[in-house]
Amino acid sequence: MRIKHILDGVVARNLIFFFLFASFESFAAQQNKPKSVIKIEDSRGIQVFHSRPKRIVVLTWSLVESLMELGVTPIAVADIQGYNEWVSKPALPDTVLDIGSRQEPNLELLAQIKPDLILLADQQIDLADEVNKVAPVLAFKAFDKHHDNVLASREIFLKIGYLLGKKALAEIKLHEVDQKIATLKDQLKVHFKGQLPKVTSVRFNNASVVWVYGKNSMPEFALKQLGFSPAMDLPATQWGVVQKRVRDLGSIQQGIVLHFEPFNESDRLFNSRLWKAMPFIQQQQFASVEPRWTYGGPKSIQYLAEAMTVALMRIEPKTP
Amino acid sequence: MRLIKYSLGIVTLVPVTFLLWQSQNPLGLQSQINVISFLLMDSADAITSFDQIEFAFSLLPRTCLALLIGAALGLTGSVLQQITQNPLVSPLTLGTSSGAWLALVCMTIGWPMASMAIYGHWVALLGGILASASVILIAGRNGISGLPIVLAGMAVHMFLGALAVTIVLLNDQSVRILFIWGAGDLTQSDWFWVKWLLPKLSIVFFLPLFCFRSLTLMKLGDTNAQARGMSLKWTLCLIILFSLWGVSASITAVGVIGFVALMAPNIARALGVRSSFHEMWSSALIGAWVLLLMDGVAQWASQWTLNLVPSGIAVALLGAPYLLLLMKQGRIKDNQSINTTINIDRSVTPFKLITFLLTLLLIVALSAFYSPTLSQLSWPSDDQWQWRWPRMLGAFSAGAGMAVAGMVLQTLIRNPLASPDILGLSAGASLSLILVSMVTGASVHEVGPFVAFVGSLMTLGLLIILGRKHQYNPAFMVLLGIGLMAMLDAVINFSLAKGGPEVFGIIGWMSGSTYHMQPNRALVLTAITAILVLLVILLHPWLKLLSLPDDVAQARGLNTSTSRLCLMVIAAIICAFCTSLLGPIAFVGLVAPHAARLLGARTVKMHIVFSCGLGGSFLLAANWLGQVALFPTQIPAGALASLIGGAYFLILLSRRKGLLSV
Repeated sequence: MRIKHILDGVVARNLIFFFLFASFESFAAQQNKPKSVIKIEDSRGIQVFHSRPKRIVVLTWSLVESLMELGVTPIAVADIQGYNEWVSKPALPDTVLDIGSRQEPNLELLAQIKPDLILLADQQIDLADEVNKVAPVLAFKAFDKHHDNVLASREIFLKIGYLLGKKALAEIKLHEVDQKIATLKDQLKVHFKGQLPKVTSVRFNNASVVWVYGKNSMPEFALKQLGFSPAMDLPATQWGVVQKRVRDLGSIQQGIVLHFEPFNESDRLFNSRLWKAMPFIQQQQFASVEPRWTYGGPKSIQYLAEAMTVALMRIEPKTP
Repeated sequence: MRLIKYSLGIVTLVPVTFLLWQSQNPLGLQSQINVISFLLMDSADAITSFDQIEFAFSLLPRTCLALLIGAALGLTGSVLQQITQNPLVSPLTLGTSSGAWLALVCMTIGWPMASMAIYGHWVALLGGILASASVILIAGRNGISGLPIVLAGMAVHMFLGALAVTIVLLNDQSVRILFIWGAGDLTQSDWFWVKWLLPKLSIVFFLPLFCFRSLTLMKLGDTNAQARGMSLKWTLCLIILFSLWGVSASITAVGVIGFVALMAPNIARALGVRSSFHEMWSSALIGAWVLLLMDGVAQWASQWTLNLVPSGIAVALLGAPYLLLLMKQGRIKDNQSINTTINIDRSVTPFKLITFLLTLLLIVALSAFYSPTLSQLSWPSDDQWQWRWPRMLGAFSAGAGMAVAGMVLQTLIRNPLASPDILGLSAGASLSLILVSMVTGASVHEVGPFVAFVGSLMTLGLLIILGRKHQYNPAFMVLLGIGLMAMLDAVINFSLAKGGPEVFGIIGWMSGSTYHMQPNRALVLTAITAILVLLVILLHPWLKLLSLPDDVAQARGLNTSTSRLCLMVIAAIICAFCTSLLGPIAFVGLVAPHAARLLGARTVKMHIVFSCGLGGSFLLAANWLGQVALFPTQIPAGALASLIGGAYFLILLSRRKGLLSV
């Protein structure tokens, strides 16, 4: 009975997972050269690797997070200043080199630091052939209207893990994210007394225009994982975000609206009559979320879920 | 007869506007009247339901703003068009919008967020006014009524635009909240902007009362006016200043909605309004109505589209076909006499030539041997060389090509302020790329240069079709190009308005970079530029004749319109190739021919060769500097060339030597 009880605990389950796979992993790590070639499929087709990459350059921010999660620090990242300002989590050590802007990473510098893998995505896919002259490239299509962005990001995460010989760790990490979100979900269930309201998250453009996170966006997925359904139904788009008028939020009759900081015209908008008349303001179903990057990888889902949970916990559940 | 036509128009259009307006709110008429009367009686607290509040604090301020700004833009458009005697003047042409835009961008990056909300609009207002004022100063007193002001306006517009793009590229995330402003949207959440704008525009609405006399006199001509003892110069300056104030304030409030100012006076004139006073008033009315109507269309469309439709795009949708119609009917007077002669009496001395060649050598050596990764000179490794040579070759060829294209156009148009991008070819290329990218979801770089090339050729085709009636009169072609550019700009701004991650690829492309210059592209560009430049050199007798007045050229047996078309097409094709492979490259074509003159190129042939060499080295230098200045970040060559070229150009203008000495 006691053993079963412990096993039920999340921590213990994770531990067992970890021990099981850690042993496998140290075994894998000893062999730098895998027995056979590693095949990874990216947006261009099957890419073949003969050894596990060590010196990795990441040109897009969402993959920085994935790599750091796997315990690998990239040797260079594009636009580190921007990363620190807008993504910030996980923090990059000072040893990481800045490789230039995300649109135009510096090729000469890239060649000089002799990476053995270059990761890029989405808007950079056309660069793949060019940077391939320096090192093998994995070019992923992470954001696309025709697939689920979050599933895609998890798949990419696993692929990178597989390539680095850390597939098991990657799976554990994904599992951890799910576990963490499940814990948050339980908290929220208690807070909302089992009656989860509908929630939609937004980011203000200015006092009149707003970006609403709809289907295929990271915040909406995080909310879905937490058990909430959207308060405003929007179809899937490439980046998951739709630009609307602020007054369109008035159509949300039932449910919570969360907004991501920063918003510099908050004084003006939040004091306006129109805003105060919004159903979700009248019912005090509105809260602000601290700044979060909304185009990240699987781990950022957890960061988003955590930040939004903090905000949601501040909202008093509506008494029916 | 005319009366019947007008009343028919009013009878059909007013109900349409009203119905569109009514479709935006769920309230009944009685309820609407109640709400308005509550507002008027200052007892807004009595309004309680959400629909009523939405009507009172979103729809009504939006409507008031549409009427206010429409009227202000229509009125100032009419004033400015009368003064410049140019039916295509708009806030875009006068650099107002780009000045305000640059100011906003700088402010967003340099200042903390909180002060942006409080001072942002004042900074934008100041930027807009400063930009337009400098355009007028550059054009000069005599240039105000004619083509010089338009060309100066475009130059300032491009310079400030390049500056803004560079800043945006280096700080991409912070500025994305601004893009909606660039597209122009009237959506309101309160009465803030109406209250802000009303006192500022009230001065403008009195403008017709005290300026119709001067405008009427001006139509009679300068000498006539002076004979009547009027200091026309100062009066006009004052009127222009007030108009610019109005335009800047409007743009600050809602963003770039330029077409109203362009359209309203033209519609008024098309309806048969003749006197200056009536034109101003009717333009104000028409402007208010056009903006209200098109804003209604934007709101109506927003109900059916996923993303909101900015008002600016709806206005452009109406404005663009109207503009084309206007051009096709040829309502534009082409009495714009431009005989800006350049009298720089210099000759090529061996000293100058040697200095130039040495500089070129130095630039080539730096580009080839300076290694920014090591910050020292060294023999390039194969790795480095494989990226350096295509970019060097591409930069030089594009610079040379744009310079020759600019030289040809300046000779044809007989104005040293003309530049190949003024014909709207770059905008055409950008537009086609963006449209294809929007439809397919691929980045602009994936879409590729072929689409861009097709886009600029289509623009060229449009220019040729529309210009035929005017025998490709140079002044007309410039106005046409600027009109097209304004139209395409509106669509480009619309695609940027969403401010999603895809936007920065577009901006990167629009800044003109050699980054994507792969070996085969560089070779193709070089080969084609070389062939076309040689062709221009072969055709130099035509150029020589076309620089003379038309009758002289015709007397010597030249078919002016055919030869003009030929040369213009050659220039356009060079421009199209460079643009599709590098992105828009401004100012090289403007500055290089002038510098060639300074170097002492006196014959046409020499001018071509020198422009070619100077333009090439200039872009090569910009390419190198852009790669080392902020290493490892790169500033696109085109943006840097615009900054340096633009600065040089503005200094030249302020010194007034040679360039605009009219």
